[in-house]
Amino acid sequence: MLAAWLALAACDEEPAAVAEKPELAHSWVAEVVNRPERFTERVAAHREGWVAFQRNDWPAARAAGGDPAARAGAELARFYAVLDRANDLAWSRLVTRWSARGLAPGLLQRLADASGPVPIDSPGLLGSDVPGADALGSRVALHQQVRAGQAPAAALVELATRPMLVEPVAETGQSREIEDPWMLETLAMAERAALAPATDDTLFSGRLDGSGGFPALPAPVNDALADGDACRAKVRAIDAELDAWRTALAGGAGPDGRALLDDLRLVDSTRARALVDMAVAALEAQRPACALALGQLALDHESPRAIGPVNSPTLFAVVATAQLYTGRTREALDAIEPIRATYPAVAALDETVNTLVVLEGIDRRGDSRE
Amino acid sequence: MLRLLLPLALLAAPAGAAGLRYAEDQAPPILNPIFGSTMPEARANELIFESLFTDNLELATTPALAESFEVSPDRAGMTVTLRSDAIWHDGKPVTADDVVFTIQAMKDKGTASTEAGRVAWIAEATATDARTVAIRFVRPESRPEEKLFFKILPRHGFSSTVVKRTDPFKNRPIGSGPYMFSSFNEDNSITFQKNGSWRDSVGIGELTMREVADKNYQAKLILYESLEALVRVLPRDLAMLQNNRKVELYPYQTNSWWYIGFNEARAPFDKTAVRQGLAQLVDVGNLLAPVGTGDLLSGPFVKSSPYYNHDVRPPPNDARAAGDLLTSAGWAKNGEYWTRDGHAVAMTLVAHQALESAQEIAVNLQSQLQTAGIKLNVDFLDDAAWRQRVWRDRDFDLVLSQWTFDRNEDIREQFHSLGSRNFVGYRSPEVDLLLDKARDSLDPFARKTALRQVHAKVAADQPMVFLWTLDSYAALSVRVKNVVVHPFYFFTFAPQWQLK
Repeated sequence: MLAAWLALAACDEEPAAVAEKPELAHSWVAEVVNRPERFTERVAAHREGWVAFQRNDWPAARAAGGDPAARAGAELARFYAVLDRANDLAWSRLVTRWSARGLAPGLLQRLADASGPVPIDSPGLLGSDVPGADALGSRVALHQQVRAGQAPAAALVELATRPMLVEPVAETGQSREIEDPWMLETLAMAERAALAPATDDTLFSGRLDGSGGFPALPAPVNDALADGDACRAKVRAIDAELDAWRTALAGGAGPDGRALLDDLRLVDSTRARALVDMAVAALEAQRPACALALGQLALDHESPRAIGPVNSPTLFAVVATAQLYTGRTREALDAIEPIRATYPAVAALDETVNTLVVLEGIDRRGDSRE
Repeated sequence: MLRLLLPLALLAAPAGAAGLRYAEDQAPPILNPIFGSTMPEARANELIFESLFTDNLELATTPALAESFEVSPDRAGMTVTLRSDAIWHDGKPVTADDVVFTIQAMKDKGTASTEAGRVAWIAEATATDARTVAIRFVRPESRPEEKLFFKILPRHGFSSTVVKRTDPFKNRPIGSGPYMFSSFNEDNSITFQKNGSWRDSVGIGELTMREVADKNYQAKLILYESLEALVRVLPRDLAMLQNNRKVELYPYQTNSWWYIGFNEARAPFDKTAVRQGLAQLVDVGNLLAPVGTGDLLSGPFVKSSPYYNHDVRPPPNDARAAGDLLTSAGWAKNGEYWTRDGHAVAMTLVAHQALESAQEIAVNLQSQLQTAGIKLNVDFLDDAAWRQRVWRDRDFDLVLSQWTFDRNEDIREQFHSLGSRNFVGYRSPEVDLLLDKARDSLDPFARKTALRQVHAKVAADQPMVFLWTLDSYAALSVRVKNVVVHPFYFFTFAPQWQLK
């Protein structure tokens, strides 16, 4: 793929014949394929950053500066915001289950009472009578500094792979490791606060037309199964257009344009980005079955556990969140696992969902087969 | 030749306008949930039989045959009231006697049920009237309804609580579920008819399970519209199906992992150093390559599991370290070959003939061990031989297989010294204690910790070479609507599916 980027030279190809849908003809993909020289110009200033952005490697894109960095920042803000939604849900379920199970509330309950979408109030959140009050106070203070722009978010991320509090439990002789419930919310806030406008906000986006925006969600159906099916049908309609468009693009492109089309998986990755945009909108519209269908259809099934040009971190975040909303707690862990290694801040969510999975099944008798 | 002819015959099968046809690698040899040990059986049983409780669409526990229940204040027992509209496929009502019979049959040592562990927590069950069952627990239970997921059998289908695999019921099962067994067919397919008397509507009139032993053909059959569903797609077929607009992929979670197990009841595999040494001779990544993409594992959980211990690494493929371990166990390298007590080392691997990609993996493993100086013989077993040699007689050196778990990922039966699925003969007092602790703990943090310790201990003892987990995808024709796949039993929500 990199070879296609580097070998790309300015050329004088004629624009290819366009697909039936006029807005597709004006999309950034059509421009890249039909006018590779323009693409070369667009990426010239921050080529490495764009390479990283195209691969959905946002930390590397951000390090490269310029438009790729600005775009990566926006993606990160959305990524953490989606995960924060999952985190709120996981905490809420954990505490509800915990209470229903009649377990001693301990720190978990007190933390859940204190956490939530509102900013943290004070370092004395849990009082001074609890184990680890000092550690908690320090953590809360750091959150407040990051939210106020007085400390880098990296300072929080550094702490993410260790539990925030360790509570000894006399009855079991073991301890409960409690994760930071505010981590993702603070990171989303920090990323939003640091957002910089990008000059080029269409390249490698999910915008399928010249004016921006992703395909509209189908009208909601007041039944989860039917809503999922409606969104699957919408994707099939999009795919029918994209299939025709892909053929038209390939047929009309010159060698450089075709190389870009294939090597950068332009149609596949744009489709995935558009579906992720739609899935985020579906989550915001309280349509998790739709979001799950869109996310599952966006996934690159040839490498379903890896971040890449088709599978963005937000795709995994959307699928995990939708799985949680639809009761598939264990399945959410499958979606979280691929992003945990690259994004240490996800560790807190991962462990919280781990605990929730165990709690949800604690009274069950397992089944296994060959 | 037979393998070539069979798919052609399937291609010629009439299109399933009114029915849904799905593929299994192997048809369930019997349909009796009391002896279920394979996924094809679990899926078929899900269509025919019901349990007292089941999962709803959000995978929360919901009554099925039960209408209501009440747990005693001391939590030492419960009463379950059955639905009044529950009837068997032969028209007889489902009664409390049926529930009591099922529990007694599963517990009866003469039955030797593979499911006995699922009722071990029940001390006694009695019918207090036609629709009410009183269940007394071995010890207090917090949410006993969560354990009542085993399938209920009709008492009138059996002569006693000593149930045998060979009982005639296996070929004419009577259930109470949304589909009725219709026929075992000459081509090894099984036909299920919609149960018109079921309490809810059932969307698809007929389901047919088609045995397609060569998994390479399954994807082609769905593309040619000779099937409407594949329960598991080969990883290498994913790209082809993803790009086909007549088919949709449904990823689902199966908590499934592959392994090469050592028979610890048999020398020299009773020695840890031997097992560790052999494990280090295996290049697992190389074995996986022809199968597809997957995650390599270091222990008995998939990587996304709450219990996976990420601090434990898979053993390295290191011939030198392996040699040291084998030498420490008394083996000697004589020229190109390893010897033990003066004889060249040779061992036999068994695998079920229906295990996908087993031939490629076995041949690859043979080659790897041959290079290392060990002769490996391979036996592919049909179902009867597999049950006899592996489950009953434990007559093998190495076994290649996979385990699939529901979302509870309960490995007790595989690794506890008393486990009913522990045919590799693994025994560790420490692991037994940890598994007991995990089972008995009501604190999720304690259970998580205990099972992560089990992972570490089992990995160190190496009763198996833990191989990989593969992604599970179902493929369904776009004609099938309202699809929700249960992550383990697959067909739990099939009554709601529609075929357009």
